Amino acid sequence: MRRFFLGVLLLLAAALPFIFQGYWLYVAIVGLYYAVLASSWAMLAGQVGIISFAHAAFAAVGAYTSAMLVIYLNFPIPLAMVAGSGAAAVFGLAIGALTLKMRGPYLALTTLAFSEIFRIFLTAEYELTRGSYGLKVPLMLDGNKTWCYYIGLLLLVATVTTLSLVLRSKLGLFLLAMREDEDGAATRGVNTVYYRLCAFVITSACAGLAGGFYAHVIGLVSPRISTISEMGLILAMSVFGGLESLMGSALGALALQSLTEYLRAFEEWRLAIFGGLVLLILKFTPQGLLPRLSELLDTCRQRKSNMLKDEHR
Amino acid sequence: MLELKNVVKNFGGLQALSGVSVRFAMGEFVGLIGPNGSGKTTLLSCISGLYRPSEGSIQLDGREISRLGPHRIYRCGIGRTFQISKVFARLTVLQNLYIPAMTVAELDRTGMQQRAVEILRALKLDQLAEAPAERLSGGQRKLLEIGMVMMNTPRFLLLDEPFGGVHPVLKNQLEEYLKDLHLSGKSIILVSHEMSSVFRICERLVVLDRGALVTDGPPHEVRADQRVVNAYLGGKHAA
Repeated sequence: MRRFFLGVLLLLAAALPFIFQGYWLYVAIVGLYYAVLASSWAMLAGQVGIISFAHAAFAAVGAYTSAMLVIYLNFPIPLAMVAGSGAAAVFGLAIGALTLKMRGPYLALTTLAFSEIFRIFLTAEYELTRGSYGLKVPLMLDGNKTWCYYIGLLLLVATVTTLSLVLRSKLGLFLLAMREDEDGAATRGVNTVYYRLCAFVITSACAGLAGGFYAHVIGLVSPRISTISEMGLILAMSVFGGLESLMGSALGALALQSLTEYLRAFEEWRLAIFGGLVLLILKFTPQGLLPRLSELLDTCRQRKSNMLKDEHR
Repeated sequence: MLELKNVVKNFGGLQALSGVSVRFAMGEFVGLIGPNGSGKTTLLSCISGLYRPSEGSIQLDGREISRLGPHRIYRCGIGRTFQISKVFARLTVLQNLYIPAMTVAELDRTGMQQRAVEILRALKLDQLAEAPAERLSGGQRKLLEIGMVMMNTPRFLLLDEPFGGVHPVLKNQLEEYLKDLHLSGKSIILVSHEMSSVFRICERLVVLDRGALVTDGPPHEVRADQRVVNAYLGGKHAA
């Protein structure tokens, strides 16, 4: 059932450029960027229990690294994106090392501080980054939106698959154990420092790759992509879709991205309406949309099987 | 041999351990007793690497281990359980057992599965192998914790209140299991307030009070020691 659901979802996603063109396809591409960010953040927060507010900043590291490598050193775009992902992973390693002993609000505050420092650095270093005007970045695939969409979709599928495989591996089991009880895991032989760093590096690399993709699809990177409100949006998307589900977070990102665009017609009221709707939805599905849907599906299946049993009697 | 020399542990202005020196030989079954706040759990946490001693040294077979992280101490062969069980609640019972086994390259996958099944049978948890650990009762969690420690071949088992809140039937089962482990050559350091069990199964008692060692000896001598009676036992278990 789950595989069938995923297959249908993938088919629908693959058919989207034939249904939507122009503006809404562009919205879907941006949605895919957020979906990669939301699912990788969900891995860190929901599966490992590390609440980091630096995820948008890691995306900015990837975006700026990729953009500058292409602009200043004439790197091919795919190579520059990989380098951007690598740079974000290095930053992830540094932040992970800096916050090894920190938990909860202390960790959140430190990552938030890093995020702000990085945003201010991007704004202040005008010579390199053109400050708040942003860097004009060469577009990938000559700006062909349909192909960009498919690249984004591939990126999302690769991210969710890779992270799911990680979670099913030995590393994943250790990370889950650490989420449940870090001291308990350490006293059973799990090198929590090493695996915590692994989690930071892997998820930062995903964010960096998403950032590079965003830069070469939009054609402009500015410090706006690492603001607190961007981070808040990623967080909302993950929670909305289901913090403990990679797929759910990705779907949450796509749903909220569509919702924000749809609400543009309400102009200055759109954020208030958006906030209200998110509050309402979370009130009724606190565990997130996908886990709730899967719960409903299970209930239906259970009822159906009970009915069949009754008929046999 | 596990040897603690003059171990001090301070938490800010509070001295939880004030110069504890004690030796644990291989194959011993030692009870670590004392009133609440006497430093028993802190001592276990220092040995298992969760706390770094403020002063003093902890040596395993002559090798200093007090500066090692908890995962490295575990890999040296010192496993522990906790007063409030630290099982991984949302993982299955089997996964809980696999985690410690996977941290050392002692067993291959088949060996690991076999060992897990054997341990679950011995602890009478085999029916719950696929259940999430959060469904276990408090007593079953204590058993599972001991099983987790036993997945590798620890030389020293540090057990913190394994009988606390455990149903009498499970308690007897646990006592028998610990006796068997001891007979198989494991060294056990048991922290417990269940004095009847402690006197029944331990061959040596170490008594702490306010972070200091009060006495150390066979149960019958400790039971007769007036300092222990005054500090901890009172009339009930005194000789």
